Amino acid sequence: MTMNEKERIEKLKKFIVPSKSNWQEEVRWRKENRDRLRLSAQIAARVLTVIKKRGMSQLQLAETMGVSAQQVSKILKGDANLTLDTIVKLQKCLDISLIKVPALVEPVYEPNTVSSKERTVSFELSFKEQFSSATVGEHIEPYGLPRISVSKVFKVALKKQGPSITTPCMAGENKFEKAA
Amino acid sequence: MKLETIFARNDDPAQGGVLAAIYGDGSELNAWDELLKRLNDAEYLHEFFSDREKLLHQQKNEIDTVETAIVRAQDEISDMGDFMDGLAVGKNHDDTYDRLRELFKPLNNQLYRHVDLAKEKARGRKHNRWLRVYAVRVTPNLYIITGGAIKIWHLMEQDETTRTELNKLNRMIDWLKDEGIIDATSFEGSEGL
Repeated sequence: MTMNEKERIEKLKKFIVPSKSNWQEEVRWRKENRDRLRLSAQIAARVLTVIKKRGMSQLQLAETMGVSAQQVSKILKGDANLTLDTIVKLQKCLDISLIKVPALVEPVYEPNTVSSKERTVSFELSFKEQFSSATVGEHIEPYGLPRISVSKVFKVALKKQGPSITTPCMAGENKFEKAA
Repeated sequence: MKLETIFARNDDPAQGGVLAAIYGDGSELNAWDELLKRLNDAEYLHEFFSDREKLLHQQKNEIDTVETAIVRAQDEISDMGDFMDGLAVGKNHDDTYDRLRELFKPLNNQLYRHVDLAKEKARGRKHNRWLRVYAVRVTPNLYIITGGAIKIWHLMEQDETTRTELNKLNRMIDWLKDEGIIDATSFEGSEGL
């Protein structure tokens, strides 16, 4: 360090006060609770969008929900650890949907039925756990999953289960059996 | 004006570290704490992005809703917080200060190297990289954070929020001169872009 730099720092030190900040604890707490905080922020953002569109104040929202203005303020900051009760109240008071539990589907995947020579595929899809990405075809829609292209499902299903087969289905072809 | 230590090598800023300004304008929070608090506030971000919604649609990776923008901005500040925490944990190691110098760049994009006593900025490291943390570099290893913002436009002068941050940087420089910590001729006047 040069003499100038040393002198600079010595003069600067007079103005440094004892730290009261707990920023590291705050950052680490946020990291540990990241998923929950993300959801809280998304819910806050959605509620803010809705009340803004309707010209509703936070006080009016609090009165409708039967809670204090301070509680609504905390919710809208995006930090609150929302209970299901509070979320349901928000949904009812604003007539919106905030959270949903997607449908659970259990189709069966059997890679042996896939032919790499042919460009069409016929197999049953099985998901041992909830598969939030979509499966295909009109057979699957009754289970509440959205339709996506055949080739996408082909690649996704294979990633989850095992051997890679590079020949995708023809887009638009729907040879899938009804899910188990 | 006062300064608060964010972290310092061997707890001695003379050996390197990051300080943050306390302006005392009605708040005792230092500039780093204030930035963390502001950008973790969904309500603040909602108003911020709602007022600038047209700009969101002009982004490179077009952001279709205010709500998406809020999530991205919070991801950026979370990541910056984690990164700064990592630096603080390694405050007594040499490579921490290499990483600090890589994080902060001259505010003036025309400058390609660091100079002492310059205005500098750290950019967010995720998504659209909107986040800015502004600081004055006092020595090669010591920075004073003056504030920060979400910047979704080209020039700092284009929006009130970043104009405010530019004013804070200038205010810090003036204060350093007034207190005799730097002299009037020693400052590299890199204006904000």
